[in-house]
This record gives sequence, structure tokens and C-alpha cells, in this order.
Amino acid sequence: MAENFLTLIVTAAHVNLARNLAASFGPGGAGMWTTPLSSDGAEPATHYVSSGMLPAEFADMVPTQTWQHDEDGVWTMIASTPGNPAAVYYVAQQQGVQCTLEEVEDTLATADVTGQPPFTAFARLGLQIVNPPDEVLP
Amino acid sequence: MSVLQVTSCGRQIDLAVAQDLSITLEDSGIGDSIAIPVCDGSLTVTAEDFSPFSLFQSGEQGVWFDPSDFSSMSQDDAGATPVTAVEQAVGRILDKSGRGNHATQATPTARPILRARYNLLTYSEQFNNAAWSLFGVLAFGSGSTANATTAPDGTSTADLITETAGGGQHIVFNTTNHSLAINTQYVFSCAVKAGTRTAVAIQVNTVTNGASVVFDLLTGTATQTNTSVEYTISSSITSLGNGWYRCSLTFSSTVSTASTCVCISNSTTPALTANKRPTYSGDGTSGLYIWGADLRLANDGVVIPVYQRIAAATDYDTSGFLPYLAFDGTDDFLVTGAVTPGVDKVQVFAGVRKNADVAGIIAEYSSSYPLNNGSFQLTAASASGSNYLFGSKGTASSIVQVTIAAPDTAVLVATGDISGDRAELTRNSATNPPSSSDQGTGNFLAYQIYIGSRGGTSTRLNGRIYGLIIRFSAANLDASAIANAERWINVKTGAY
Repeated sequence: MAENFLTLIVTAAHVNLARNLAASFGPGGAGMWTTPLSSDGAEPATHYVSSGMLPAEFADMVPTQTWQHDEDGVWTMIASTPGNPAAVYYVAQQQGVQCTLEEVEDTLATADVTGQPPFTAFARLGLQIVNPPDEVLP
Repeated sequence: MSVLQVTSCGRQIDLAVAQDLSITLEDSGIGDSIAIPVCDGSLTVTAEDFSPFSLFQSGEQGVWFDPSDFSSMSQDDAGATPVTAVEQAVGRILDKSGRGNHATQATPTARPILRARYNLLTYSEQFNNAAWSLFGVLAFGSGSTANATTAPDGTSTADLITETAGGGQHIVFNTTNHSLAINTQYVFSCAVKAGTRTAVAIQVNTVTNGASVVFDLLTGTATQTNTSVEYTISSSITSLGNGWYRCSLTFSSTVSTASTCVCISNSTTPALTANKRPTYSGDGTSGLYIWGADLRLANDGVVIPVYQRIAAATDYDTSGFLPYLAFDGTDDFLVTGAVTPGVDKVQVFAGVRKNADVAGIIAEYSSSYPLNNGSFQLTAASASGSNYLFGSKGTASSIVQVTIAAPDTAVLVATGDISGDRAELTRNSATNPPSSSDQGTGNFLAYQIYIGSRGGTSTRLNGRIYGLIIRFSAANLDASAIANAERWINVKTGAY
């Protein structure tokens, strides 16, 4: 089965629906978007990220963007794919996820999905991982 | 009374021994052998290669994970789809200790990826690919020629780059800037051969600043070093035969993004642009040959080749390059089922690389060391800074750490002894004072082992694991066994 590497970042406002939509595609979709992000690394999270290999048939359903530096080192989007929100909505409906097509479209439209390594995507978006305070050293 | 059966000259000889019989090979190492004359032949005793399996021969609980053994890994968590190549996700890795404590990950995007990539560039032998841009160089097919001549590896994959007429710079550079760790050494190199131009500059730059070294491709020497405030550099040039040289620029930067560049030069001491590129009026016909560009962190492995062929990011040469599980620092982790040691000592051997000094779990026994008695944690960096940290706990915690900044590759040996109140952590076999803080009472309790994350929910590892051995025991390992296990892990890691 072909797989694509993707870094998928969704907004905090859409993360619950995104999690439900992913889970509706099967057990492999469960547990996504558990890592919170924000501009300063502190709560509250403004975004959530999942990153890794996604089966190609699922990767094709999400819209993607391709970014490249211009001659001044500024990120510029050079390509994108629309994904298939209608197909995502259909599967969600089959699995009993409560949502509208417009909500699915909005979730996908506001997602940042690229083949970039996650920390490259974070830097481009001005985000960093929210680390719980004082949890590593007892 | 025991009997040792020895077969010699086709006859079996039973040797009665009153106690354990040992045959000592003095001043020997793994693989050494001696021949003991018997009859008209000899009995050969060979020191066998060490295997971590030997650490579990008395039924000790624990795990042994070996990412270099592809047959021990599956892409899915059920074990139905084997891992067959690098750049495949690992959903299940078998425990080779014999204890059956396999580690899995059910969520596909949260699986670490088996990887052996060290070259940060793409299309290292295809300068006509969109990953590279030309400025002041004729387009491929219109003056520059892909696959124009024999490369150092004997293939016809070396490109000819030809300067334009006029202009100032005549360069080939990465289309996308690199994200760099500041004040960290990288090595950018390229194989270059003189054409009608006999000098080249290897350069690193931001928009307005840069540093470079100019190399003479006839004498094989560096002839001009051009620095700037933002960059600290050094260089080397190595003959590859047949007129080819690997020209290398080692640099560290105070800025976090940069482009790397191969610059045709009209002179071994050229006039330069503000960002240290040769500038001259080209003739529209002169050029040189380039092949095999490589950019990597300078401390990334001490035993691997200096050049790694790579096309697309997932298509690269793996021969001689040590494989590892890459944890992305966002959501990757593996977890075992519950382990029940019933003892109060643990030894942990880990080959790791940390990419950044953000707190990340290498291995943790239980879902949270701070919250659970009878547990341990091994972390790459911590809330307290640039270190590796090991904590061992009965009913009280004992912490020991080694200070070293990321990025770093290390063989970590951690030992915890609850009743002995000893916690020890070494990096790359260097002595480090242990902790004798009270660890309270009790044994290591029954928990899962988390790899790459605390409880699967936080403190994500941004780095690599080359090998992991965790051994719970009633007795400590002797120094020889520790040294053997450490050496074995280092063969897989290439840390020192």
C-alpha cells in the first residue's frame, strides 16, 4: 500500500471535528492531532499537529500545499491540491459523525497539510509545540 | 559431577569435571580463537560475537529492539506487513530478548519511520532537477549538460555546468533554503572536476551575507577563504582520482536559514560579491563538472561515508549508512504491553541522536516517571536544559544527567539500583559521577515501556533510536558485560 508523508496541522477550533473525521475512516485514524501548538509554546493551543505516513487513498482526500522559498528566502506557495471534502463528508455520515458538509469544507480549508518535516512547517507558520510545564523533571 | 563432551579425531571424549569448566582466551577479543592440540588435529575454541540475547539467558525481563534488523519490524501494528526498506513506518518492532515485549503503534501517523538518511539535500547527482536553481549558468540542454561525463563512482552521471556570457555570478544553488540549527557545524561538499574553468567556490549564504572557500582544481588546494560575521568556516579538499576532488566547506552560522551554492570561478583568487561568491564576466562557453553534493551535520555519525547519494527525499543510498527509527517530535511513539520485572535493578543501553534540546522521552517505564513509583525514565534533554537525564525510582527519585547540547549522537548506558541507591548514566563510555540519592524501597513495578513519548501524550522525542536494550535484574551487570553491550550498541549507532 502506497503511503505519503504528510504534516497535518489543524486549528484548535476545528480539531475535534478533525479527530472525529479521521476516526471515522477506521482504527488507524484514531489518536491523531494530540500535540498542541501555539505561537509561544504556552497554553492555550491554537493548532494541533499530526505528522507521518498516511495511506495514499486517505492522503488524497485532504487538501495539500507545496511551499518553496523565493529568491528573497520568503515562503511562497507554488502548488496545491483541493482534496475531496465531499468524500470525507460521505464517510463521516456513514459512520455517524455529526457534522455538515460546510463544517467539513471549513475544516479542510483551514488545515495546513504539506510534505514538509513538522518543524519546518512550524517555523513557516510561526508555531511551536506546547510543552506541559514541569513534567519531565520530578 | 558434570561431563564435557569433546569430539576429536572423530571420537567423542567425555571429560568429567567436578565444577564449571572454563576456557579462558587471555588477551583475546571477539572473534579471536586458539587451537588446542588434541590427537593429530586440534580443538579450536573461538570467542563468539557478543549478542544482547546473552543478557536475558537467566530469564531476565526486559526488551531488546534492533532497528538494523528489518525482519524484526512491521509497518502495521498487527505484524501483517513487514518492513522491507527504509522510509517505511514502523508499527511493530519485535522484542529480540525472548520475553515477547513487542512495541507497537496503532495510529499510522504516530509511527516512527525507519530511516538511514544523512544527506540533507535532494537530487545530489541531478543538478538539472528543480531542487537546484541556476543563476548565470546556461540551462541544461542549452549549454549545460546533464550526465556529461564519468563521475567518481564510475557512472555517467556527472553534470557539466557552463557559465553564461556576461553577468556577475555563475552559480548552482539549492532552490529551498535550509533550516539550520544556529551555532552548529554542518558540512557542505561537492565533487568537482576542472573543465575549461579550473577553480570553484563552495559557498553558504543568506540573502546578503555568506562565506566561501575557493579551490584550485588543478593542484587540489584551497586558495582563498572568505568569511563573514555570521559564519565560522573551515575547508578540505580530497582527491577522488581522475581529476575529481571532493571540495568541502564546514560551517556554523548565527542565522537559522541558509542556501548552499557551487560557484564557477574564473580565478583561484576571484573578486567577490557581498555574500562571498566569485563575480566575473563569463564567456558563455567555459565551465566545470560537478557531482555528488552532500549537506549534513558535522557530528552525524563517525563511521559513515562522506557522501550519500540521494534523489527524492525517500530515495537514497543506504550502503554503509546506519539505520535508525526516526521520531518526529510531534506524535510518534511505540509502547509495549505490561512488563512485570519483580526486581529492583535495571540496565538500559540506548543508541540515540537528539535533534534539538526540547524535552523528549527516549524510554520511560510507566506512563509517567514523576507520577509512578517503581519506574525509570531516560530522556534526551529535559526541562532543565541541554542534557541526557536518567531517573530511577523505588519510592523516591534519584536523578543523574550528562550535559551535552543537541544535536548529538550518543550511546547511553543507564543503570538503576533501587536498594543500592545508585543511579548512573554515561555517554559514549565517558565517566560520569553517579547519584547515590535514596531511591526508597521496593522493586520496579508492572508497567508498559513507552518509547519516544511520555504516556503517548507528551514529551515527544525529536530524534533517532538506533538500538535499545532494557534489562531488569536482581543483580547488577559486571563491567565486562556492560562494556560488551555498550560496544554492541555503538556498532549500531556510530557515536564514537
